[in-house]
Amino acid sequence: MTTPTGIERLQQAIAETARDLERAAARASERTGPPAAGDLFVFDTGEEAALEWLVVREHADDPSLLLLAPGDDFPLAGPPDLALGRDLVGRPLTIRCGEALWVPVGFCQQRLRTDLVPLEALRLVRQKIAELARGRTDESEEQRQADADPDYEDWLGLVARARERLQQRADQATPELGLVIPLEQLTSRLPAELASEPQYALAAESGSPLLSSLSGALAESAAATRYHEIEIDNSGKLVLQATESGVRAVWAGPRGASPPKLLGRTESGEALEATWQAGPEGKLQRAEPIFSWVDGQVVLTIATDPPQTLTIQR
Amino acid sequence: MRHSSHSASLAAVGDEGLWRTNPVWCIERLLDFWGRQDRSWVDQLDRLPALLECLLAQGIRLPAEALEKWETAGLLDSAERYAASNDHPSPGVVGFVVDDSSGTAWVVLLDVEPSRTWSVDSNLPIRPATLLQDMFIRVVLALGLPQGGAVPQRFAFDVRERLGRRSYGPSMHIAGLLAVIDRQNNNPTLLRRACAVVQPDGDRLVPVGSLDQKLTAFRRECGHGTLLVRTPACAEASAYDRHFDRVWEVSSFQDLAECLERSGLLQEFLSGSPLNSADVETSHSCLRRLTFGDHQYGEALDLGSRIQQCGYDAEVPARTAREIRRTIADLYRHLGYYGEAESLAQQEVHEAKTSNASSYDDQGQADAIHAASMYDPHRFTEMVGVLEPWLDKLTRDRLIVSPETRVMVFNTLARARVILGRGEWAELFRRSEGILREREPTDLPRTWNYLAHGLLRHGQLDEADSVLGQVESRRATTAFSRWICSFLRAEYHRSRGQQWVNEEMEAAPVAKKRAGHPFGFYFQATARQPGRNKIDAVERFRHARGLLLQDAGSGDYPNILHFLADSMRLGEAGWSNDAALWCEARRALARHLEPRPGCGLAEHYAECWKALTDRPDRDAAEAFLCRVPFF
Repeated sequence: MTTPTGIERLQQAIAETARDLERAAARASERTGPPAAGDLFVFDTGEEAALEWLVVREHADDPSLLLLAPGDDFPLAGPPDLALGRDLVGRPLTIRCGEALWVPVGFCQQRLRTDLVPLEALRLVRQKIAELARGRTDESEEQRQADADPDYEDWLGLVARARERLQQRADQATPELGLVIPLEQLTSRLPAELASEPQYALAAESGSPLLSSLSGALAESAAATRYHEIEIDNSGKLVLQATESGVRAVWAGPRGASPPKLLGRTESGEALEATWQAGPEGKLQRAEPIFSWVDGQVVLTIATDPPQTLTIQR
Repeated sequence: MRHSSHSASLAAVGDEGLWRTNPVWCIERLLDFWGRQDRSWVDQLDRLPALLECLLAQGIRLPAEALEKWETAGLLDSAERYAASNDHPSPGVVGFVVDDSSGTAWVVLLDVEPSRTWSVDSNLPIRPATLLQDMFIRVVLALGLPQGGAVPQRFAFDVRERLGRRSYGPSMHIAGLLAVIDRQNNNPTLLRRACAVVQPDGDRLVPVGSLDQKLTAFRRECGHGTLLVRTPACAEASAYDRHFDRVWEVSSFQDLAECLERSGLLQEFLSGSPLNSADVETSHSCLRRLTFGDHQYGEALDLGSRIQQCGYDAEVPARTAREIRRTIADLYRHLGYYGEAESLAQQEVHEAKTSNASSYDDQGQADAIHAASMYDPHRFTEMVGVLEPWLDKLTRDRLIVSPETRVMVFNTLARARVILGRGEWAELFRRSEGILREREPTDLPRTWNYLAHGLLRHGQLDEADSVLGQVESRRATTAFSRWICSFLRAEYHRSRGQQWVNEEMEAAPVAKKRAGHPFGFYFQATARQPGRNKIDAVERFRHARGLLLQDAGSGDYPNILHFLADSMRLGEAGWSNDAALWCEARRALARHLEPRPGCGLAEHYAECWKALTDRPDRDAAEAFLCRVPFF
């Protein structure tokens, strides 16, 4: 019998994790219908943490509210946490039961669902939350030690901040999505108003490896941009540019024609009106800020008559 | 936008060297370009992050200050985003170059690697490459540290630059020096982002030009610095002090040396461990340069002594060690320490005659060197005694030694015969000439100078004129041969009763570190030229004395250069009719002329010394100077 080397063990672990994720994705894709207890979702929280949110239950008096508890694979688990064994959920997942929150059911969109846990796991989570509510929790020695670990404290702080962000967003009215446009339906063709640029016709290719790399990076960035054009009351054109960072609006209209009022949402879910900046030649105006992707979508409202709302989803 | 169009705009901003070394300047220029047209202005917020990520992936670091500036200007959503992948730039010690047309200053990154010989990128204004070594030795010597056992000359480096722009002037010399020190100390924190805005001016360090542009460039590309080297009370530079962790205020090499020493950055160079073969190669090269190229005999002797004090690893070829020993013997002779020179030469003779591994050639060379070492103490008869047996042997069979050794024997013997006025000497020089024409024509001027000297001393002026003409007509003559030739030409005109001066020789500054004695010889010759007015002549004797003492070092030992310098004092006193100076000169000369073993001066000057009475006497002084074998 041979003992696997460190690299072999690492390779095995990576392969196992990949299989777990594939299985989770398969389970999530099979699952349809409205969110229900046992479902796991992901949301943008602005924190550097890969958190999933477990639907624990519906509110007893208001079925439009769901109790979510964050879960992650951080290796330490303290007294308020419940580590679900690999035998239960097929991968390491610790539910931070002390950081649960209520969100509207509409908050949990089908496309943000990542997995679901078995009923037994759900029962254990509910039981843990109930114990916490009653102030009665059993603490193992391992949990006590984790509780005193500064790394655990930092991690829990991060989870708490993510919960606050999510709560803040959930407290805002769920936006009307209006016309939903998947990112892949946007065009990569540069609108005429943005196309072409005076070039250094006589400038030769540099032949420099660095400049080639930089040039390639710029070209790649441009190629990844998607566009959506909206004619506004025959007065001009609104061009939405979707990039890795989010969606930015550009206004191309005749002199004197003002761009329309444009509303987007911040990461915390608050509505924010874009401001317009004129370009150096005055032909184009650029909306500030760029509206970042929140839960994989950007919701914009254009104050035309009547107002138009559209959502770009990726 | 097409790939090629990006390439063109990137290349229009700067070439690869500029992008790699001054990325912030390039990005700012690109942003300025993008910001001029609506279409590119719209996209610049997406382009900039793509550009930054690519630069970081290429290992090009950007200062946090630049990222924050772009963030504040709304060009970047978050500078923090790049913090993890963007360590602070750590270029080490940087130099600067200013573009004359635009006034823009760029940072010049210096790459330094240990090497067997000194070499510097042709774009850098550090020429010759050994200038760095010289500056470094100046720094070490300025400390007066007990580095007697160390040979910092054992180190050599290859210095390259990454900007790809040619620069001029001395403003990067100190940066180059610090870059070498940085490398040898394995890039210490203090020099991680450092710059020097001082440049050498003699022994002083003075502010560099375009100082404000240069420090602005440093801040732009490097951010907060670790060390600024500037002159004290330099308001323009001190305005940047707060942007550096430490500031060294230096106005001389001494100040710089003290700062380096306090920071422990010189220790690496002061090791007294035995030299390995690479060390020997490097330090021997420096010794050769100082001796044969720069004629800085004092420094060369100091180096040679330290090399010997450190000793050698077993791997060092014995031949190299022997060469170094011989060079040291030569140096003692050049510096006038005839006692030491002869003693070392005798050791060579002993070794050549007793060693199993010796040859006729070794013995011939050793005897020739020994004989040459007796010229300074005026032991011409003994010289002849040592070399005439060799002449006999070589006349019988010239092939028993190498041609070079034959030249050494012929020339040294001929020089002694010239002074003694006995025996054939011109023929010997002609034999050397014949060998050198075939073997090493570049060495001919030296032999011609010896021949001309003999002809002049024996009043064969037309022949001397012709031989000197041969030296003068050669284009590629070493500086040393040229200087000796000028001295001999001045002697020729003196002998003809004419006045004559040479521009190059007249411009010889006393403080300049190079062989002083050819210039001293020249000034004594011109001082004695008939018809020269008294003030001019006296000044020339004085100048000659200064130049002769330039190489002489301490007067503690019997030293021929001190003797010659005192002879100049006699000339000055005789020509100026200065009784006090005359007495002083006589007293000084008397010490040299005391009979002592191994010294033939007393005997050589006995007659003309008697003629020197208590009263200044120009003719007696002239007779004394005529007797000096070097003139």
